[in-house]
Amino acid sequence: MTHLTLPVVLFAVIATATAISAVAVVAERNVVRMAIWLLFTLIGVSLLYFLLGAEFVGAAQMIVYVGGTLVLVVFGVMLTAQGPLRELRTSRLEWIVGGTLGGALFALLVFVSLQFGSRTSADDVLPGVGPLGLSFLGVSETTPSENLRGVPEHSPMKRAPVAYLLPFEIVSVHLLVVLIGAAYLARAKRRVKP
Amino acid sequence: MFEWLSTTPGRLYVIGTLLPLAAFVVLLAAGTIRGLCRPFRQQGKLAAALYWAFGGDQPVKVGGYMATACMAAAAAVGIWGLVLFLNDPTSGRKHAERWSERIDWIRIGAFDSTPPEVWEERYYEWQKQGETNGPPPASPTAVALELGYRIDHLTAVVFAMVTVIGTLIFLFSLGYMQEETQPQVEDHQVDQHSRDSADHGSHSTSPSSVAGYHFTRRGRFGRFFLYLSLFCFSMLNLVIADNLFQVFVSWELVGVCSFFLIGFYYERKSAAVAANKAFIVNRVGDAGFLIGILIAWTYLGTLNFEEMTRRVRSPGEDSHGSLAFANQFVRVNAVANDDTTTQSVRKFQLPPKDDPTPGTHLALFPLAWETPDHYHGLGYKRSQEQGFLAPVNATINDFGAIPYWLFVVMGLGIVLGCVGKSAQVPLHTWLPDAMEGPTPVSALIHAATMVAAGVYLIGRSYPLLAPEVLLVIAYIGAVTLFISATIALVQTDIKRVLAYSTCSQLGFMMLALGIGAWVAGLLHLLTHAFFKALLFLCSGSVIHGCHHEQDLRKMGGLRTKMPITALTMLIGVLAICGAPLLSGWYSKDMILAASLAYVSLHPEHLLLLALPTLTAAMTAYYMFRLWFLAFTGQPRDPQLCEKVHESPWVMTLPLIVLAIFSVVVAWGWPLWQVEASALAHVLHQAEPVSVTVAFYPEKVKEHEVHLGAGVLALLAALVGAGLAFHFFYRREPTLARLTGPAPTWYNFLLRKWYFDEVYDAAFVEPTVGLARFSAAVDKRIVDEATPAETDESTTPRYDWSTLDGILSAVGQLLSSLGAKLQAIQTGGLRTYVTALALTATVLLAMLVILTK
Amino acid sequence: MNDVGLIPFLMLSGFLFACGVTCVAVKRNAVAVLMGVELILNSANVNLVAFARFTPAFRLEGQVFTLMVIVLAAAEAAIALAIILNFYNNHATVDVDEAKDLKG
Repeated sequence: MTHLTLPVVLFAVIATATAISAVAVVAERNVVRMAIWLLFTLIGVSLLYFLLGAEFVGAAQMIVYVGGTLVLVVFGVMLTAQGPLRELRTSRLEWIVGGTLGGALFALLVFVSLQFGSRTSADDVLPGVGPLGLSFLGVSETTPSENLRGVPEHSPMKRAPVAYLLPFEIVSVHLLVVLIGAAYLARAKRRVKP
Repeated sequence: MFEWLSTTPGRLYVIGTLLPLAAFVVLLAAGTIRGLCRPFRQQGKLAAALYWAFGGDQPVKVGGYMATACMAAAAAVGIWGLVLFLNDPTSGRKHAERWSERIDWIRIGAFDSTPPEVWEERYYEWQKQGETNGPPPASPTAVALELGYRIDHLTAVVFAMVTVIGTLIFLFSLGYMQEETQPQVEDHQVDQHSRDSADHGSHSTSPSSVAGYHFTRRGRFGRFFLYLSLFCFSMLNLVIADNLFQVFVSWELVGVCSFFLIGFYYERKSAAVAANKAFIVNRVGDAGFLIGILIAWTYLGTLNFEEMTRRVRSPGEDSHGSLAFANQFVRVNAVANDDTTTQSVRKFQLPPKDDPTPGTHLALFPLAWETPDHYHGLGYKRSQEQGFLAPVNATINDFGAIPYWLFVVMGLGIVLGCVGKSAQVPLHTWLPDAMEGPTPVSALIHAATMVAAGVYLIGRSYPLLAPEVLLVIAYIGAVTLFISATIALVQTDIKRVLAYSTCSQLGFMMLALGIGAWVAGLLHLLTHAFFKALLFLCSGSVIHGCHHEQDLRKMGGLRTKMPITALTMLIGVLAICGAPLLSGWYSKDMILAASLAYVSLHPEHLLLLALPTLTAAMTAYYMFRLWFLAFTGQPRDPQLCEKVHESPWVMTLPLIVLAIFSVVVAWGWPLWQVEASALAHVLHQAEPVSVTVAFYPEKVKEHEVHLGAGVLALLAALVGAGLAFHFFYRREPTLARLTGPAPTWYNFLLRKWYFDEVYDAAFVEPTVGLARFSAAVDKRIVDEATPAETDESTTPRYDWSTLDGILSAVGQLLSSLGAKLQAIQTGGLRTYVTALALTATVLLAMLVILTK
Repeated sequence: MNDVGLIPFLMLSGFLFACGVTCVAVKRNAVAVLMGVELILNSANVNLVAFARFTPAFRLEGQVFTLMVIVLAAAEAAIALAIILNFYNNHATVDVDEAKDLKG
């Protein structure tokens, strides 16, 4: 059994909060409240990132998700509001089916997770903003401790330089295209139906 | 430019063969373009221009002229080739290189690019080194169906014959088919058909044909020459082919052309039926032919005539002196193979010397054992005493063996094909019906060329035929010539007399081939081609002059009206009867001499002499009967005789040329000696050695009895001609007597020995009955009860008891299944997501369970 | 951090994933469905970062992929909302059960 150290306590608290708010997202019928519960979930996840030592990812999660995506979702809710009291109800049977499905999935995933056994890492700190940014530019300064898997032994190449420039570019272009598409789709149009 | 002409003059024949094909292709293209452009003829623009350029509504004559020109060019090539060939000084392998070529057509198996000659040399080298020098060189494993031509004396002569007669008939057709050049042709003989079909209610007749029973259509001048050209190409290809498969392909092409041409007036029911009959009856023969080919391919490993001969017959010469077996079938017995190292190979041995029963297998000889200057017979080394080994998967370069009965079946199969094509009993019934086609077609196909193909093929594949098969051929020929002649005695349709005469003459050829008179049979093929073409064209001229009246009983006294036709036809009649110094005399005398010689050596086959002699008399009788009925005496139908006129020069010119040919084609010096015939000498050069080997005593005897046979033939012909003279010239027949009641035997002959009726009862009726039965089983009773109103969608009932019902039921089941499956496709987003998640869950669960 | 270990993170990730799937499966509001998708994506991200933390070979890769997923999720949300708006303009509702044009 693990010792009750600070990380363990922190994890327990954050994870419980995240899980509860995720369940609330599912259970809540009001869309606006769902969005609020989702906000808590996302914050919880970003806190988990911090806990894992991935500060940059956590920050990005906070900024992009909480500050961007969620705001977008809220705007969506507002734009499609159909009167304050109208709720889209789902039948009990569907709830049972969906819940059973989710439960089965969760059980399976837990089962699979348990196969991994406990792992520990010597390095306490994940690469920070500097290495990440360099990797996106196609350069790597890191001197990793392990060989890249799949490369023959005694090979002069210790580790291939991490180069995410091309994926980065692809993602950028993708984003651009998506934004243009979104703008096109969402642009003000005359109603077709009366 | 013409270098190839000096190296391989045989290619001339390829060119000659392809010329009619070129005409065919051009005609086909023009006709197709015209037909495609026809819907746009009113709209102007390019399509209409093309339509009018290719004749428009009026059939163009240019196509016919072009086809005739092509055929004439082919004839020129044929004659030129014949001259070159006869004057060719080379011999042996060099000769073969100049006059034959082969290419692979369809390859089967892994291809080894080594040519067989190189391989043979290698094999020979290996043999010289004492067979101790390692394994023999691997033989080429690939086999191929080949295309090739091989010119020998027979081919050269027949090629020239076909092209010359073809050209003349094309020329004749230009005149005879003149009315086909009209944009509107009235076909009065369709009347019967449309009335029939109206009675049966099976066809809906067009209003134009019902009103007054006149059928009008566009002339088919170009189409006629299209078919004729294709036919000529096929026939020439058949003649020059050097392997059975190529022959088979051409054979079928010839058959299908015959089908098209017999059914040329396909609006007439009789023509359509006759075309079908010819095609189907020929299929029976072709099935046998195909069986023969397959056996040859399986056991001999090749379809090339020369190679097959070398396979089945012992080598012609032998450096080791065992000539006792030269060019013969060598029959062996299978014996047990004691050698343990070669368990997988079979061993064969000659039967012991004191054992009279022949062996059960026929020895097959390896091709590669023969080298240019060194021959091995079966006596090579120890094989005669100790037998020889045949590998189980033997190639054509190994010894082998074929069960003798299978070899006989192979020969019978080929003969069955020939029997069908050459209209011999029992497959002769199609030829008289084939007279439904235009007369030039009858002349070209059903007298001169196509029916000769069967005889030609027997002559070609002669070394492959076992003695038993030859005897069968002889009897088939004898029976055919007699039966057909008796039928011809009483026919009243001018073309039908000639058709049965053709059957009969083909029977003569078959008989000759069967009894070993190879040269006589093929000589008769050539001479008969000329005078029968002449006779048919004359009858065509008569029919043309009499405005498509073919009944002999209504003619008479036409001699003064159409003198050229009468005279040329008389020459043809004399030639076919065997009047001395005319071409028919030479060939028929030779056949009768051979038959006399054969019977005197084998008295048990007396029929083979009696039937042809009797038939010679009958031939003279029915031919003179025809001529007297048509040309002499008083006109029996004055109305008809009024309008008769002589044919234009394009039709009489071929008659005159053919008449000259009919007289001189077999001439030699001295004229009065049958054996001096120059054509026979040419043919003799091509005679397979095996003929002499197998029929040596008959050959010797033939020279002895020759004079007697000549006298016999002449006497028979005189008797027949005299009887005809008595009945149809001295006692001039009246219309009443000719059409009056007749005795029973007369009707028996008139109905052609009831062959058609018997076949109807034996084959056609059961087949039709079976078809009716199948249709009844197949049909749904529901359909018949309420035809047309049954709506499938509203009354989806199926009747399991019929085949149709079962099929429908399967279809409807699938359809309803689809309708049920449709419900799953709700289109609902959440359903899909649920299904997706469920699938992922199940897959994950499977992964977990399986990797546990 | 080694005190916690990898497995709790994976379990939390699995829980978030199950919640997301359930959310997508049962919600009728299109925006709610979108939120379910966001949950699923987040669960994947947690997974990635956890593995990056506890597997030395993936220290950089895990984070890089997470960043990319975050960015793509943002784009996806944008376009999904655009589609929802369009749907709303045409059908005057955001009920996904109304979107049955693909019914077979």
